[in-house]
Amino acid sequence: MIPEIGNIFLSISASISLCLFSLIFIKRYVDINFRYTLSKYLSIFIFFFIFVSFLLLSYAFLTDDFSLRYVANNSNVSLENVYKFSAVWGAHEGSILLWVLVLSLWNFFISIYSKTIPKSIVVDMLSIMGILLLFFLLFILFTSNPFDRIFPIPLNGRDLNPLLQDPGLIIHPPMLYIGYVGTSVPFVFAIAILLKGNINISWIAWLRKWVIATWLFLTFGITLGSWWAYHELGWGGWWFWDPVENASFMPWLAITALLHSLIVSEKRGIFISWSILLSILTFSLSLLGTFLVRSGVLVSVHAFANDPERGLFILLFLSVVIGLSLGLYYVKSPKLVFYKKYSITSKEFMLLMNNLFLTITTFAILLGTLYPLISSSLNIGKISVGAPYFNFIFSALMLPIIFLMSPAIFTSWKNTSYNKIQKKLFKIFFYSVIISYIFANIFFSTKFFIVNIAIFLAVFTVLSSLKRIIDILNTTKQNFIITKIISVPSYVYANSLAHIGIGFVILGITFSTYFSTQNELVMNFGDKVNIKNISIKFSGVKNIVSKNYISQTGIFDYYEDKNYVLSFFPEKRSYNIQKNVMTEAAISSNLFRDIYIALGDKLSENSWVVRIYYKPFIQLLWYGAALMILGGLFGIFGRYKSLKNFSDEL
Amino acid sequence: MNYKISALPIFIFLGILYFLYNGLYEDPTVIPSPLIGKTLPVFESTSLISNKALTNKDFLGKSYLLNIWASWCYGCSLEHDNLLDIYNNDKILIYGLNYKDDKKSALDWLKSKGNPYSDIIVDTSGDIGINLGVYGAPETFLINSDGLILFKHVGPISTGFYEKEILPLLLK
Amino acid sequence: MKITKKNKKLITKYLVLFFALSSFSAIIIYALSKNMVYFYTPTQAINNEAPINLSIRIGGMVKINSVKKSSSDLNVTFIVHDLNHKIFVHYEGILPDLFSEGQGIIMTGKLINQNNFLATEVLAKHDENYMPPEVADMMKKDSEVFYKK
Repeated sequence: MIPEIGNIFLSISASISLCLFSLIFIKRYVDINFRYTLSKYLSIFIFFFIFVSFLLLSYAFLTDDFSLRYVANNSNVSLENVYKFSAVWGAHEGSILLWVLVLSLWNFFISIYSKTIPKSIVVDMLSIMGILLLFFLLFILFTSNPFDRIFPIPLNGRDLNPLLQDPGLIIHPPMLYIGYVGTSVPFVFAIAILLKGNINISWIAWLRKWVIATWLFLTFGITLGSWWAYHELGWGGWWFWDPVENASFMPWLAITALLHSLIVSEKRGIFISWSILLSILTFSLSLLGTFLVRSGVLVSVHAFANDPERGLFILLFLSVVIGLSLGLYYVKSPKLVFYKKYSITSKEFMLLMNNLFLTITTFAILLGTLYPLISSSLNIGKISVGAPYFNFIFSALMLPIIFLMSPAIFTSWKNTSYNKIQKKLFKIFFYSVIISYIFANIFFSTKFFIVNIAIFLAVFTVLSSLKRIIDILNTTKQNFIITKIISVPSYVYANSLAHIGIGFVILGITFSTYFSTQNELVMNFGDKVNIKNISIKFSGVKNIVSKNYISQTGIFDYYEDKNYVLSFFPEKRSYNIQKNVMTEAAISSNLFRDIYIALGDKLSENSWVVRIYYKPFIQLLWYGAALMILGGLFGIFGRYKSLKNFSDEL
Repeated sequence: MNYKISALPIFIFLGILYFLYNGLYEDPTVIPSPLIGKTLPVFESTSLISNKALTNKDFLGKSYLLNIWASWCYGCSLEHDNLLDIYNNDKILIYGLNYKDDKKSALDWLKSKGNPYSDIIVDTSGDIGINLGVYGAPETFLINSDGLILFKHVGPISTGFYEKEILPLLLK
Repeated sequence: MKITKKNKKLITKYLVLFFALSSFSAIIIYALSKNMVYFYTPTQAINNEAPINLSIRIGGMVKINSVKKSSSDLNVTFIVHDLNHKIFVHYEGILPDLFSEGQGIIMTGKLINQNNFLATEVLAKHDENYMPPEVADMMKKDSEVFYKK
């Protein structure tokens, strides 16, 4: 009975979404105030019905209702309650329900937090959201319904994939989805603006905060995914350029470009066409990602099950939505192109370069991701593109723009004198060269020139951003340090922290990629591995029985300079139901290094295959991401009305 | 941006769309991904007939039909003669999976109707069936000597099932 | 077209753009060409359709009872097959958790000859559903079956 209610509520939401969508067509017959109020109510109801549906599905999981096929496939009586709940989004049907729930939530928020933009724009935005919601709801109802029943009712479910029984699963997908789906906000805004044919700077100020919010969740979601892979998969890796990972990274690059493009639009009223195109691009990439993951078109360790029929459904939707948007762009964007003068040494030009490089990098990654499809369609054979392509392309295209980040923050709008920039950066440049040289060649050693460059750029970025904060602090008129800090506009902290974050991330990536040591070897009880002044002894393995798995737990003792520090307990778990074997790595982290130990196979009673990794400074990767997120938070909660109010020098 | 450049994005998109569409309908015998995962799953059980231990490894070496049946299943009695026909004429090995049944009823059923199975796996709880994707009885799988599932039929098998559905697959 | 100052700026702009785009394209094409890996099946390898001693990928199923692990080092051998043919695989390293007999894998490495492959990387894939997609369709069709409640 209860699942049937869930089903019905989804159908009701679909009908209401259709009504919402129709609002855009009845402009001539109904006045704007009525449509505006109606759109708000419709949005609330759509969210309500989908939310209740979602709760009912969760209830089915928590009460072990195995008469639902989806619950039977993804849960089990002995699964812990918190994982029974997160199993709701553990597979295709439930996760797409989560997608549409998040979409209705964003829609709902737009309907209430849009008092500063004209009602006609709001109605158009909500209306376009209506068609997006309608599609996904129909998709669920017709091809991927989590409320489908099965006969006979199994006594027990198949259990959640053990790889997903981890705290990371509970937060990573929801955060990522909030980010992914949030890309629909700039998208519907762009369509509304194209339809209207003109734009006002204050509307851009409104949009920019929403884009920062989406960017935040996407950054957080992707970081969580990498962090989870690092801790869960047992290989010490955190990024594999897997098609599904790329599917989340491309929207991130695009939305980063959009974010910066909107800054120019808000400040100077130009790059409007760029911003609109980037808005369409970002959401398109998000839809494309959804398609790639669920259609079986690309081979990936993350992908949901193959299903060409579902794939076709999504592909048709994708073509209509993106095709019509780009068509609209072709017809209407010329009206939104404005020209203002700016020199090569200006923030506008820097950010133009930023837009260009990020967009090209996005396309380069898209090309590599889709290349297997392209090559087999053109019958040149089955070709896959490996990680080295992506690593190379990413470094080659991104390092120049990272270099530009430092002069960019010191350039003013419209024009800056070259000497001024040079003066600000000269000392920093010099210090950065020295510091990076010391790190790359004295503390560690490398034969790759690229490592020196990467470290230099990271240090350069960090020092430049710090200098900017200090310079601005010095120009404030207050006397006490606390009041000085508070008087600096929040967006200075926003971009400085975010850029310092990027610097840290680059350092984390470079150090852990080029300076780590990997030991994969056979160890007997009592054997030791030595890395610099560290010694790790394999002391033994014990068996532990838990609720739905049996664990073989290794004991590794860690000595520094002959002093005992702590013990590692990596595990090999055998799950009872699905009979999978999972590796749980043991990790010791501090700012300077991670030590990462995982058990491989048992070779005999006291010899095992063991993986011991030493990764210097990898924590900088996570700290950097945290700083980026902190910067984003400053961006959202800033106390200023608009960037236009600040001087051109800032 | 003049008119011409703003048309570029839509052309690029159409190109991408072409490749995506093609990717959906690739010949599955060429890409391994649809084949991946389709083997007889790992299990441990006993034989209904001899009570000896049985695992998935005992079923390698020859192609066979795996028939999911139970004494409570009406459809199974409908197809039983066809199974006996296959067994009596040595067309192909048939193994049974006794699904969610109790031993006495199952053995009695076989005694009164005849036994076409060279061996029968006991699956009282239905767990083995769940891993095979079984949702009811009868269902019949064709499995090759390496344990690969080549074919599945839901519902009672009809006369000529072996010649029409199974033989062509074995001859490929 | 007169070479006025305004035109000169425009020409420079387009030249720079052209140069930039060509260098981007060159970088991308170069990277692609260096990192393309062709994919083959065991049948293609046996039939001499796959290149020897060149980095390629092969995918198939791990044959049951074929995995032999060394007791002293990280060497392992096993057989990988598709519907029709099988090849022998040698690998030195730690196999992924999802690797098991009867499962599908994709490996990167080189063919030593038509039936021997030296793998440098092994990837195992796990579907969220165990069930083949056709079954879902079959469940939707009507069948004359009685189910136990």
